[in-house]
Amino acid sequence: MLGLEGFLVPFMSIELIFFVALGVFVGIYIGAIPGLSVTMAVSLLLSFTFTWDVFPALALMVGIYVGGVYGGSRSAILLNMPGSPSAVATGLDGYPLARLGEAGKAMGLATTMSAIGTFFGIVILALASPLVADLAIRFAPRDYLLLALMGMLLVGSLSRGSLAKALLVAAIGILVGLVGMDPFTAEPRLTFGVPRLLGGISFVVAMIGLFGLSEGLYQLHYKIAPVKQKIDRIVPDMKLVLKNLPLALRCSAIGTLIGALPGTGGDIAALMAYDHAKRTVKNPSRPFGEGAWEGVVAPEAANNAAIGGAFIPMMTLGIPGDSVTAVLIGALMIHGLRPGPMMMKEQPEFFWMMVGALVLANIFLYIFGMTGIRMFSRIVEIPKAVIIPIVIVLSTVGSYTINNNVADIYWMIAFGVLGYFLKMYGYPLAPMVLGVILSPLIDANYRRAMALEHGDIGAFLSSFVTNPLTAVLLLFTLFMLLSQVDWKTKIGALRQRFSK
Amino acid sequence: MEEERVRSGEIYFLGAMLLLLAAVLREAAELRGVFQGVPAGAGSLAQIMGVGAILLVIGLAFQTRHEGRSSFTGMIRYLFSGDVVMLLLAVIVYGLIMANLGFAISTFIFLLGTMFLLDRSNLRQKAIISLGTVVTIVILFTFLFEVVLP
Repeated sequence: MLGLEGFLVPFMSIELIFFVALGVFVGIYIGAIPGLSVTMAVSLLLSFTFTWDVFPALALMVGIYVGGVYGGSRSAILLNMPGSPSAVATGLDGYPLARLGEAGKAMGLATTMSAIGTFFGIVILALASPLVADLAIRFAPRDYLLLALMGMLLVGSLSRGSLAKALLVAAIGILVGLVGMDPFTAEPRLTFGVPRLLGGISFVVAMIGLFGLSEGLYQLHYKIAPVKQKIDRIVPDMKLVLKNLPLALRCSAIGTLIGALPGTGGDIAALMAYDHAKRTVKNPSRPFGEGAWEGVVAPEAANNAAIGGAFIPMMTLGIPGDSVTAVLIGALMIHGLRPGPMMMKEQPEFFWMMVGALVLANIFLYIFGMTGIRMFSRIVEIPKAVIIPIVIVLSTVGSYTINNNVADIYWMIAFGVLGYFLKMYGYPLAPMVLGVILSPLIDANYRRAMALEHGDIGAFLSSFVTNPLTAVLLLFTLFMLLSQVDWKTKIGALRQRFSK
Repeated sequence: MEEERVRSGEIYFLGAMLLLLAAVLREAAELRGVFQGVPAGAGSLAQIMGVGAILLVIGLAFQTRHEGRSSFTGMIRYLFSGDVVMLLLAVIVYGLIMANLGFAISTFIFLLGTMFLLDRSNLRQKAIISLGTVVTIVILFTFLFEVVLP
């Protein structure tokens, strides 16, 4: 293979090994702190690495990317406050595991599955880049719309109890996501004439308030006591890893494909993988939402596999797969490189160098991911009177740093109070985050698809069955919808009715 | 389990949601969208979601109505314990004083105040933890990541 020698470049240079390791280490801790995003960290790095050689600069950025995506799981498991949007799904079962005293083992399993997911994504990046890129580029707006609708079907998976309550929360999430300036016409939308709302409401702010502040209020209300952690074992049991390996591989495949689609990333990948686990695992270790190991395995494998996926359109087509790869494209351009088909042809060694850096980052991810777990686990044992105020301060700082805007702090408080009320009345919070995340994707692609058919609803609907790729996606969406119905019970009830 | 407890006052909560969503729908209806016969308009999704959410609230309100009536004071008692009210007030005051006192001082006061009000023992230890937290955050964000603090 042309340029394959580039793969070994990061392994042969002490300098590059050091920068990848440093990046992963810093990335894990940046990812764990809500409000410090990987995109922000990589963007900041641009300012002081543009005078460096291209390889060390990229090694550091790739390390931060890989470490940061994983790091979000730590605060999700320990505090139910996801450090990054891609860790929202991890908290659904990770936090109950911490409440059961198994935070250490949960973080160990999350590390292992993240490493497996990253590795899977890299393998697909190396072996099937042109193929996956070709598939991703064929996606039309109606396909993205279907993908977003598939995402909305996760509402059922993300909730226990009343589906109506989950749907209501998701609808509110979509409405929140629509606030701001319309990206197509630049007219104010749902801003109530308030200019401050033109910039929209950041979903990270909503997420921090919903999961951080509301959790603090809820724990105080019910006087939930700190839980003593069992940290005798961090490296997960081989039996547990092997048992969950098929699920991890399936979720890695989902993550890689979602990651390869421009505009989607680890957050949607993790939620879809969680839904997949909930549908396919017949006998989970515990019920989902109550500390099932499978609920940690699926999102952690998927969100890290999305990294390899996001690199595919970036390297082969020059299109960013997510916000971090968009910044990475900027970094490459600063260094006089333009990723895309020509670079793959003229400088293939560069592609392989990136693959090598990702493999190296994955090795360090496992090493550093397994360190500090004992210390981190102790966070859950800190008295509530001490930890809750600290979590609120971190939530405040995290909300402010998104746009350097004090108004975001007030939004965080508002979402925190709303989240608390919702929790108290048994409304699930995750569908709201799902709604806010998917809202721009649904809105933009629905309107693009409709505009392509000149606003003709009949033509819009028929376009879903006349295009082969869309038809396949539609069938898949219908299958997902129908699989939510408990057919066994329904058929049983019908049989009983007829037998009477 | 919390889910098994009686959720007093859900009907009031749904009433508040209904008012809020009605206001949102009114705002959405002013945009070009499905209501105006422009399916690809800026307000289409907001109008569809607004109507859907209001219908869901009404449906849930009917469901809740069957679960029996609850008083307003019952709802207040259910939602707000002393600690929750104290923390909420502290958070709001923290958000307000931050603009005047700056991040470091307001955060120290908030941390020490809430920690002490939630557990009135060992003030010295709490002061040290509060100070340590502020210093760590300032060093981490301002000097290491060059992130502007409030």
